[in-house]
Amino acid sequence: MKINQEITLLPKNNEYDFYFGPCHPGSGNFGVKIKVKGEKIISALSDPGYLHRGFEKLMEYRLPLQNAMLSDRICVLESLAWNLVHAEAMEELMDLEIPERAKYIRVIMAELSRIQSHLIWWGVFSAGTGFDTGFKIAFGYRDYILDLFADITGGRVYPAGYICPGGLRKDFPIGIEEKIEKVLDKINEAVRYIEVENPTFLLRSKGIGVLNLKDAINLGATGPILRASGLKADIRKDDPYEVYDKFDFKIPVKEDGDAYSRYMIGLEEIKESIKIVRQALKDLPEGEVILPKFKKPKLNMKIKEGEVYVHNEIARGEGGMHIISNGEVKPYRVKVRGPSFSHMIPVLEYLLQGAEIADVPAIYWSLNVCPADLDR
Amino acid sequence: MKSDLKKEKIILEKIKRKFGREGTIQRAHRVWISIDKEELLDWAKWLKQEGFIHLSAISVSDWLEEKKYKIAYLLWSFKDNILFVLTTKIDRENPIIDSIIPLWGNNAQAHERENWEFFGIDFKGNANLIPLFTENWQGVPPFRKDFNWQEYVRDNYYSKENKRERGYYED
Amino acid sequence: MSVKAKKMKKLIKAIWIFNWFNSCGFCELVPLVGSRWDMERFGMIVTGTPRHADVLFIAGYQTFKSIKRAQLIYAQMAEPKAVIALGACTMTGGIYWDSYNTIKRLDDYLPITIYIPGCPPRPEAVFEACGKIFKHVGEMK
Repeated sequence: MKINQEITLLPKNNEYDFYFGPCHPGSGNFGVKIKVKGEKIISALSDPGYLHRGFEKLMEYRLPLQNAMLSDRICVLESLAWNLVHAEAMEELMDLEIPERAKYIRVIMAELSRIQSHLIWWGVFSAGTGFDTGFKIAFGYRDYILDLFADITGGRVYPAGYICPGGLRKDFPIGIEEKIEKVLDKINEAVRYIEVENPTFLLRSKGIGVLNLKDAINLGATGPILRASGLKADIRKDDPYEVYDKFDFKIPVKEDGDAYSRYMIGLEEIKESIKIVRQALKDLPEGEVILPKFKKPKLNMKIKEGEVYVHNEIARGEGGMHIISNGEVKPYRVKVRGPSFSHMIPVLEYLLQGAEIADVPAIYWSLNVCPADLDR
Repeated sequence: MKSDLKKEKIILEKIKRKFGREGTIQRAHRVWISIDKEELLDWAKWLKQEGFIHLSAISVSDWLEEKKYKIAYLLWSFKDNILFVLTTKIDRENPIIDSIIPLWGNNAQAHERENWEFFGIDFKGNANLIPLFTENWQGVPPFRKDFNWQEYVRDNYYSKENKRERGYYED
Repeated sequence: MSVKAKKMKKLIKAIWIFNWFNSCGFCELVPLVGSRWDMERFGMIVTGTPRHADVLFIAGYQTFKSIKRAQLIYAQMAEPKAVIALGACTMTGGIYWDSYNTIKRLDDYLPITIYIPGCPPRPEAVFEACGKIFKHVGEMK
């Protein structure tokens, strides 16, 4: 019997090319090309671009009020946070001072958005490492916050440009403060589940994907990933925006730099965010929520000439916008800096060297990717 | 939120003594300065020693009448909490500039690759300039100002005869 | 009853979906798998490979890079199969109509069974669409 030589020959030194792509149930809309020898990874190359729409140039063809609608779609997992970055950049360019009530409500919405984004993080991290109960709990509790968004802004996921340049589109509905307090009590219950240490989850995430401080800064990490490696840096304290300097909250820092400490920082941040929302609700002042010029805006309002860079601490790290205007009605150039860009292209390729194939989902999801703000 | 701009003034004085240039303080935590493209590596080395160790972004804008690209390097310092913006201009028809990979490693490599793909800038010293977001894109670098997206899309994908798509032809 | 109607009525009693939640639909299809909008009570589960699946959800805008992968996945599914398109971007291009990299009319690339409008559509809309597939198969002659 003749054996077909082409089928039975294996590669010489056991080296394969392996594609951990967008259709794999353990990954998101982002691909990684891995060179493997046996079960250990030799090198990795990131393959982004499945969601590239070219936001930066789309924003040049639209007015600032239309851009406020477009800015929630930069990252679907935390749309209110990007709304806020765009509104702050436009206000700094036009030299506007918005009313106090609008600033407090913006902080409440941004912190609620951070809580629901961290719940998604825990949910998909558990699903990727096999802990299916965690996935169901996280997405179940997240729906309470989405119902709040639907009552306040009109949309569960996309708030239809709620935070626009000049303030907010409309005020809180009557009776929403009691609902927010009840939802925060429910989130406290969810935190109680996350704190219980499941042995499988611990085994699959402790000591995996260790990133030390020097490499983290060199490769451009920001946000929870930098804080898990030991540096206490948070834009809400270092370069305060809105009214964050009036609230009392701590910044959690850990020293180990592995996947477990990255998620545990997320857990502590949920607790701190609950504290901030409660303080903001207590101190909420009365008044208008939008400047009179923007209540009935004229479509040919010109933007002053200049350039500005604004950065905020969103759930994933440092999200920024660099806007240049030359005195026309539409912006001249908008550059969006997404935190996942530095996390997934330099940091992931560095962390995957020397890891095993079975650890790839744990490392990948512990970096909290949002492929939409990578590709923009 | 009032600050006395002390740290920003200290940095500007050090720059005046060493390089002889004036910068501007836009507001608290923001310092802007513009240089020539040949001095880029000297300035970058000195700034990194002064504590500006985090490279936020490299942002490029296209100016058609002047025929230049303006590149802005956005650097953040963790110990002083200052954002330093270093801007420089290069020629639009022949865009070449030095790469800052020797100082900021793979982080700078990713940003430079993105700008090569969208504007066509050649970074000398970056050996790995391959497409990042697009696959088999044969046209001009897509973010240049002379490439009008709305006309391109109307010519290639939509038709005026289709009733549903007539709205895309009105401005 | 025709041969095709007999086959469809036997096979389409429960829809199995391939787990390719892309773009904006990720945020509304993943809660469908969760415990509030439980889709397993209608018989729908999420499979990990296209060869076991009946339905492919195109959950939002597609770019040139991702439509190639979607066509390969569609070719690997076994008959009878259906494609459900979610969102306004699959119909005429949606809010990204002037982007150089997105697909304007999904109909030119894949044969679509049902469109679900919305930006993004609510989970109840997805259940109604699946209900319409059952009703359509039930009325086939």
